[in-house]
Amino acid sequence: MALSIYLPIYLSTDRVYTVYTHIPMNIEFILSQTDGRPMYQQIMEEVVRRVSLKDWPPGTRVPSIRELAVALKVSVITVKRAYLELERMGVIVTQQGKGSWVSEGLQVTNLQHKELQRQIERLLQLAATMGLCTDELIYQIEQHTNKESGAENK
Amino acid sequence: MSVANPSIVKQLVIKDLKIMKVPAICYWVSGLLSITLVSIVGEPAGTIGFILFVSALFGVGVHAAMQTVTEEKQQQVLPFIMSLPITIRQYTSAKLIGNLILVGGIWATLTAASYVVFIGELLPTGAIPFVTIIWVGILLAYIVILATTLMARTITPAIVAMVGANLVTQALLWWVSTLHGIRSVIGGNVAVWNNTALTVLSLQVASIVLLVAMTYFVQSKKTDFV
Amino acid sequence: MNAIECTNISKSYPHFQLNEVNLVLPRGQVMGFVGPNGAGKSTTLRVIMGLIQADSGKVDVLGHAMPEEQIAAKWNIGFVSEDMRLHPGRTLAFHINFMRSIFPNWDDAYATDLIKRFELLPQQKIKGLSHGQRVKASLLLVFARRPQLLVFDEPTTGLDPVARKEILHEMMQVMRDESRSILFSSHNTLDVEQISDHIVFIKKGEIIARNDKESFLDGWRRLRLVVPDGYQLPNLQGVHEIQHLGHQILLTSNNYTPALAEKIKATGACIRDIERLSLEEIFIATVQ
Repeated sequence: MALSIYLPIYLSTDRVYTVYTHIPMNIEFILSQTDGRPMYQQIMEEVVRRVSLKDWPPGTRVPSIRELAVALKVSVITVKRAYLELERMGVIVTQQGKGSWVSEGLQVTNLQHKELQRQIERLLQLAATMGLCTDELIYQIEQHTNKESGAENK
Repeated sequence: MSVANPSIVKQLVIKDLKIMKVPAICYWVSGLLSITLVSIVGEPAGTIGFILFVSALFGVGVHAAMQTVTEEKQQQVLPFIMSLPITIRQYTSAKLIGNLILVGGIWATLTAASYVVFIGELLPTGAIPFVTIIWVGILLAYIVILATTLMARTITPAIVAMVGANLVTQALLWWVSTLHGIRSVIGGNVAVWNNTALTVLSLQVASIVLLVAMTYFVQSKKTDFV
Repeated sequence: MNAIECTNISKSYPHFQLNEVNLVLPRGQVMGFVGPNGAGKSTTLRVIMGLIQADSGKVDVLGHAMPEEQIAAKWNIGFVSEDMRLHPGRTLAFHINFMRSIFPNWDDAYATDLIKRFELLPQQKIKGLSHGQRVKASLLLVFARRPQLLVFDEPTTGLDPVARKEILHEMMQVMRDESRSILFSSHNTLDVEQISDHIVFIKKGEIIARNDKESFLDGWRRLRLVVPDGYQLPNLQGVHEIQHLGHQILLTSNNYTPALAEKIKATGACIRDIERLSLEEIFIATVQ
């Protein structure tokens, strides 16, 4: 993706995006069809991951819905839905007819916090289906942390 | 984008001519060779040349109709052709024009050559009207085959038309040869275009025109074009 | 403007009939047409192409009435069907020349690129090609025309995974342009699920379900319930199917909302799991 394609877009917006000339070069996402989660969630997670890893820092122009759909070979409506949810989460901002950017004021730690919350929820759900009570779950987690710190100490 | 359709009909005709190029040349050459055979050996071995000549005339028609029309239907090429910006009417035109250029061209040149070789050598000048009736009869038989293959959805009517047109043409030509108006002048030294000969010829030409018109009519009534 | 608008199209054959089919495909979108064999997918697509005239109803494609204005419409439609063939005794190069002679916007560079990527040999006769190569050759002849609307009947049927991926890739490339649209039929629900914006189910000549894909997939859930002895599940809205397995109930909903889960919880059942369904599962549940 050449920078020159985006330059006019940056210049035409009233906000000065030229400060952030970081453009996502790699929009190759790996989506899984066997993953139980729907496509739009997988796309959201990948975007959130890239934003939290600062591969896509605030102000980065994210690929247009159509660009990403073509690149991922996924329907436009699916990417559109992912972007709508990302916008609601405050991860990206969209300007009608201009495109979407990673939110300027985005607190990446917030995002990571939210992701942690989600993972915990999933863990709790799994524990519930296994019939594990919270104490047992905490015990298991402690066992794990001990094992990891033990490995580091060696 | 403008509706530049005559050019598509032209391209369809060119495509069919390309597809038929090699077989057409073969028929044309074998037609010419059989005439040459007649002119070299004369009677009675020349009769074989005459039969070969008629076979070449008949063969090119059958081959062209089968290859350009029936094969497209049998091999499911028709949906590809009909997905192009043409109507069934233009498809019909393209097939008729292509076939008539190809088969008509071969028919015209070979029959023209036949007059030069046969008349005087094998046949008396008086036979010219009857020979003309035979050549037009073969053309008519070909039009029957072409029209049937175009109108038919399956291969069966096309085969029936091929066999039938061959047999019926021979029977009709034999019957024409027994007519007094033909029989009485056939051995003469001048070509006599009497009422009998002219009536038969006009009936043949009228049948050709009618068949072409009928093909367009039947095609335009179709609701499934593939 | 819509790419395709079918209003109440019907067509009768001795052993089959298409019954009041309605379809709308907005421009810039992909519609996946799913149905069992003999459901009327091909007939519908052929009516849309103007290759078959419906007994009744209205067909409008790219703003042109079909089949009356088929010439104007077909300039901008690319059609490929699984059972369609090219001239068997001719080469791909022959067909490319033929298409180039007809379509002024034929894109030679794109055609050359596709030949390379599809691994086709222009000088090979069509009759020597494998099924996959034949489909790719037909698709190439359509893609390189860059038509506004693509109508594909079972384009990926019988193809290996690599070929399928290449074709889906090429179909999605088309969607880069917001004015171009695709209607394709398939019984490969994975393909349909992946690239369609709209999904339509057809069965025995009738459309039995349609929606945009996200709503379609979102509406269906399978709930695994664990229930106490002698439990009776009350009648609930949006329940498609119920399977009893001892103390477990598998409940399939075709109109799922969190409210349904709340209602079920209130009856004393415990929800162990709420799963989404794949398009294939939805298709089978709908068709059966």
